[in-house]
Amino acid sequence: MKNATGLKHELRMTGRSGGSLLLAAALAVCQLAPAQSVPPSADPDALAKLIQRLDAQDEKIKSQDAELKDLRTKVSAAPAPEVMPALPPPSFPSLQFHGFGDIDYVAANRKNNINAQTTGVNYNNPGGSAAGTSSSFMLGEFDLFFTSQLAENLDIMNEDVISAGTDNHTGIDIERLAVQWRPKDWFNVEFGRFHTAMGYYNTAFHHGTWFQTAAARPSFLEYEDSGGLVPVHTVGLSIHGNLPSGKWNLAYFFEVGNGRSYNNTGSNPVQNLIDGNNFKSVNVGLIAKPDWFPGGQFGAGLYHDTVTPDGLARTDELIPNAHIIYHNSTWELMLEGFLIRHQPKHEQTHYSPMAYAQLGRKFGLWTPYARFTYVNASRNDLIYTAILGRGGLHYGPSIGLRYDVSAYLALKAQYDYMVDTGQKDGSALTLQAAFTF
Amino acid sequence: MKKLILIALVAVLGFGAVRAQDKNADLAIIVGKASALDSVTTAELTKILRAEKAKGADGVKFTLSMREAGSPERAAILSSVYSMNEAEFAKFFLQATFTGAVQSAPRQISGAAGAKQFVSGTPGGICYVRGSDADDSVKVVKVDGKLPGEAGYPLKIK
Repeated sequence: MKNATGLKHELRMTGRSGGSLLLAAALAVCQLAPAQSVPPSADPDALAKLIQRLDAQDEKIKSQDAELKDLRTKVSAAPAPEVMPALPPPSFPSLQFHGFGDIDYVAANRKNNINAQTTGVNYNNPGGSAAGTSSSFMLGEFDLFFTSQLAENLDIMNEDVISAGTDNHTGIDIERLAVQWRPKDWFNVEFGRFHTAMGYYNTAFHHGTWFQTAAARPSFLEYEDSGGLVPVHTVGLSIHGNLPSGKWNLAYFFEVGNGRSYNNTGSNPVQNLIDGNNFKSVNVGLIAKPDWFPGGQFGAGLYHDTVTPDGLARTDELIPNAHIIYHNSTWELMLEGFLIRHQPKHEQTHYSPMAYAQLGRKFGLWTPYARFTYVNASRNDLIYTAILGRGGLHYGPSIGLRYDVSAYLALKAQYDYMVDTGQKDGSALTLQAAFTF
Repeated sequence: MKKLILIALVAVLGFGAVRAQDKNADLAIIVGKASALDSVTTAELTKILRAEKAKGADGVKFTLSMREAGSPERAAILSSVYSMNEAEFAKFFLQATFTGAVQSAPRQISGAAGAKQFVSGTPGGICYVRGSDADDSVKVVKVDGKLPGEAGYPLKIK
């Protein structure tokens, strides 16, 4: 039998714990108590108070039970904790597309070189006899770039450019098309048509002018069909990769290709389908991006081919080149030099040095820049005089301003001053809207 | 004596709080538990995340990822590793894809849970979370020999 103290204790416990079982027991005890266990000496008032308290507790517990039930209902009705869906495994082929383009206006005090691909005035309009006006609105290049991963280490890359020719008709060129296999950091293979890894500009900037700070490529690095002197494209095989070299971060490249043809028949200088001879171009080089030169890169390379220009002697072509670059989020400094050595069989050797230096600095969305270009294409080299019409000295400064309207559109204004052998000094203003999408 | 004990207690608790705070402010580089990548220097990490080093010592290709735009973790990795803003980062990977240097830009991952799930489910996956968000489901890579929360850890979330 419980005495009053024991009962109070149980009641206290019941109040604390809210355990309905204990309460039921207590209630049972209380209900039975007057008849069976309460001693005659028990105070009826105290019992009444006790029962009153028990009733109050009972109400409270009922209320808590209701709340608990309500909570349980809510919990069971609540959505299950968010489970992140499993990331889908990469699927192949995975096609990516990017587009680039530019629209230009060029005003010059020489006739435009209509061979140039709208990227400013190309430097040497031979004899000034070519068609064209001194100012033009120009549709630039419309560049469609595709890449598709075919397997973990295998992808293809394609760049097609639609642009207007000298007859104002537009045409399409496959500028790059290559299969790339990347089994190791130190061993990557590219097979197809690609940009030769000569120097920095030609590998960093392709046909999308949006990427480059300036409106135009350095004149001698223009594309072959636009009067450029350096073979910037080839069709062949490239092997390249990183070399284990610690803090020097060396990379190498080795390329074999059809090389460039020199002809005045109007055929494409990039030998896409048929190599005009059995000699293959070979291009090798080393690039360093040392840890102690963050943002910096320097490199050197050697290009060799044996070319058979139309109507000229077979010529040995050798192009040593070197570059030093510094590029961070504020500054851009580029220095590159090429020396083109042509050795016609049984004839005199000709040397044609060419170089440019470019400096740019970002001020928020504005990037003023300056470039100086120097070309001295040997006037005794028949490849330049008889075929390309590009022999002689050409140099001059360019200054410009780039404004990034958005992350995908840049406006550029560039002024070029040109000194050329046998011509009046010329100047040109190029306005360009370059974009990506 | 009581005073001394009290001071010692406050010091211990305070130190613990500071450690926890440091870890919360540190950016942990995480990979899958099976990854061979245990420790990198800041320079090596930069090369990996800029896709200049494509494969780890185990020959597994790194699969790069970036946290969601606007997250403090992404801002921290952009400033401390890439040294770029958002526009420069986008241009960098677009140009790298364009030149053929990389196959694709890093995958976009949302949230710390997503980052952990990504690296634990993707061979070669590498991502980053707040130090306090790293747990046993992933491996935290030492950077310059230090783990998040340790003095001198180089990657901080501002």
